[in-house]
Amino acid sequence: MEVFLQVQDQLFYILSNPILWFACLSGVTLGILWGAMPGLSTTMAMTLLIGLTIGMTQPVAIFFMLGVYTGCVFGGAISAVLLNIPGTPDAVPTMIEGNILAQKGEGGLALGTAISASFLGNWIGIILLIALIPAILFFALQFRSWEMFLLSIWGIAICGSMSSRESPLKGWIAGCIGLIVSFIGLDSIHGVPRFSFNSYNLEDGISFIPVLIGLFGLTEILRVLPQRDNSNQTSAVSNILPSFKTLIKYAKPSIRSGLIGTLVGAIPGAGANIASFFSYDIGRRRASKKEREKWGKGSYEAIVCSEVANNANVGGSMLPTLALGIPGNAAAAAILAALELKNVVVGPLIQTENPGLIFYIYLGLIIANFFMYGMAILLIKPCVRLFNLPKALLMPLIIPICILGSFAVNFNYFDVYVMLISGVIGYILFRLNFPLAPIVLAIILGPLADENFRRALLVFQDQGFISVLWDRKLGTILLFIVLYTFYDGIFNNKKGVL
Amino acid sequence: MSSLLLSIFSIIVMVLSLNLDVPGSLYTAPGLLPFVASLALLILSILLAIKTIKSKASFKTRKLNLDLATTQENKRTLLLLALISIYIFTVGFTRFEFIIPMVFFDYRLSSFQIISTIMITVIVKIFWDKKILRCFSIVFIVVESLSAIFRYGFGILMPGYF
Repeated sequence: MEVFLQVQDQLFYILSNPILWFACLSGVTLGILWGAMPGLSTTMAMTLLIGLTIGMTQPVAIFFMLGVYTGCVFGGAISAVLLNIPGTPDAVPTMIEGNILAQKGEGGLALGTAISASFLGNWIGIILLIALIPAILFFALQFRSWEMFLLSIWGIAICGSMSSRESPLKGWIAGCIGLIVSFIGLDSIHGVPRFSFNSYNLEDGISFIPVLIGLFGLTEILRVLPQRDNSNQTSAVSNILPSFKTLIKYAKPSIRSGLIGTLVGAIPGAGANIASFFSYDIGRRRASKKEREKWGKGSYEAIVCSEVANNANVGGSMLPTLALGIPGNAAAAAILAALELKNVVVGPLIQTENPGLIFYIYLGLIIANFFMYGMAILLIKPCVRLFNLPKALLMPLIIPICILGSFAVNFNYFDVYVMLISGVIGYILFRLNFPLAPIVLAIILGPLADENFRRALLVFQDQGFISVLWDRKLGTILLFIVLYTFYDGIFNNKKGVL
Repeated sequence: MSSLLLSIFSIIVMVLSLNLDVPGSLYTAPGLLPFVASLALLILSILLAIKTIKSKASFKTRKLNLDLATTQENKRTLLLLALISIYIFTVGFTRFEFIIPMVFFDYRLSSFQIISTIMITVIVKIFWDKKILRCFSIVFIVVESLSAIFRYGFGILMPGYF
């Protein structure tokens, strides 16, 4: 009864405050536009836009930040589908499928499918957030160093085998290159400089954002612009939303991907990037034979899997953030910072110290989701028309965005040089048929894998291998899954390793 | 060819990993995972070489690499890469800003905006092949709008800021 009254109070407060609606709508719009810019990540949006909340009251600031978070996660799909340059790293699977559809003139419908999937994904994340806080948190907290290491390696292995057009071997090689690049800089345990060659810039490490912009943005520009025939395939914008019948067809993969997105989001440190790749891979394995053949050649079901998962991740990442004060991912950490800026201490006592706030955040996510859906539909047609401009005009105009996006990460021009080098390497690797997505994912997951691997070894140093397998059952299951992924890539893959 | 380069790269990384300091236990050695990753890269490169030899695709790959500066499209790629590199290095080494007083605010024109407008106009002119004035007008509007969005909308400084 007390809970019901708190929800009622919060609902009445929100409904009677149009400024909250306006803040949420502004946040969603800014988030979508930010996410659509190549390389400008959700985390960057959250951290840079926190500054705008300083002058806002606590309720307005929370709605604004939730709006930015929700909008930005979807926004990454726009440039991914229409330009083949992912706005955010988690949009890479959407890019693989969506851009092929855009080249066939189905960019509008591909984006419409992504919007509907994002809307659905957010709902699944929110519902699970409300209903399953204790259960999901229990599962998420089983992930310790060993499990986190295996999760990271699984992510790279899946990405390698999924994104390679030839054999998974090239995908895994790309993953190894990404891992090695991620080790550049000060080691996180002892502070020993690795592969920095006495350069202060390298000691700070290589940020994944300039690499992402270089590998996908600059490589795409170098690939497309020199072609004599670089006219655009015009995408239809008349019928952008998939029919209800189509949505029903994708109900099963949507629910599955929503669960994956929420669960991965609830694991501290694992973000939307892992969620979208896992869901994409599991979706392919579970798809019908006919649908599986479309995978990698423009599959709507694949877009649904990827977009539902990375949007459900928003709700999932809020679980440990609100209930434990441990951010589910970097973007959720920015939400945490915004809440602390407004003197809200989140964690197990959130409901005692700030009664009703948790319901206020739930309602904020629901409203942000509706605004995201509405704004995405409004923005989709102008975006499709904008990206239908001749590529010989459009591609050069993206170069300054690539420079600004890389520079904005640390306000250090060194990152722009990293972007340039990544672009050149990306182009060479593209010409040699190496996939680029595993490099970015490995750079993101490398530090997580490195730190957790060494911690796990330290913990296990006095235990035998069998006792580790027996004691850490979740880790053992993950270990077998990782081994199976490699086995599947080597022996069951049509393209074959050898 | 790519397998050979990757193998050399992985061996260099392995040597560098082994030469890293080990301040604590061997289990927390900073070079541990880099060594494992480079070893994995070496094994995968050897497998790739075997696969390439088996499929007899080595000649095709060699042809592709040597063709880089010969076909028309590749020449245009090299030209584009040169222009982008000049653009990026010029922005990196140039720092100035004009502050032009307007009625309600001071208009800031940074080195980034000027160099971007010039270089992108050149690139658009070469690859779009329309009248220079048309190219310049479009590029000018886009660069100014982008700078305004980043500087005033998102609060991001321009490269070469003071």
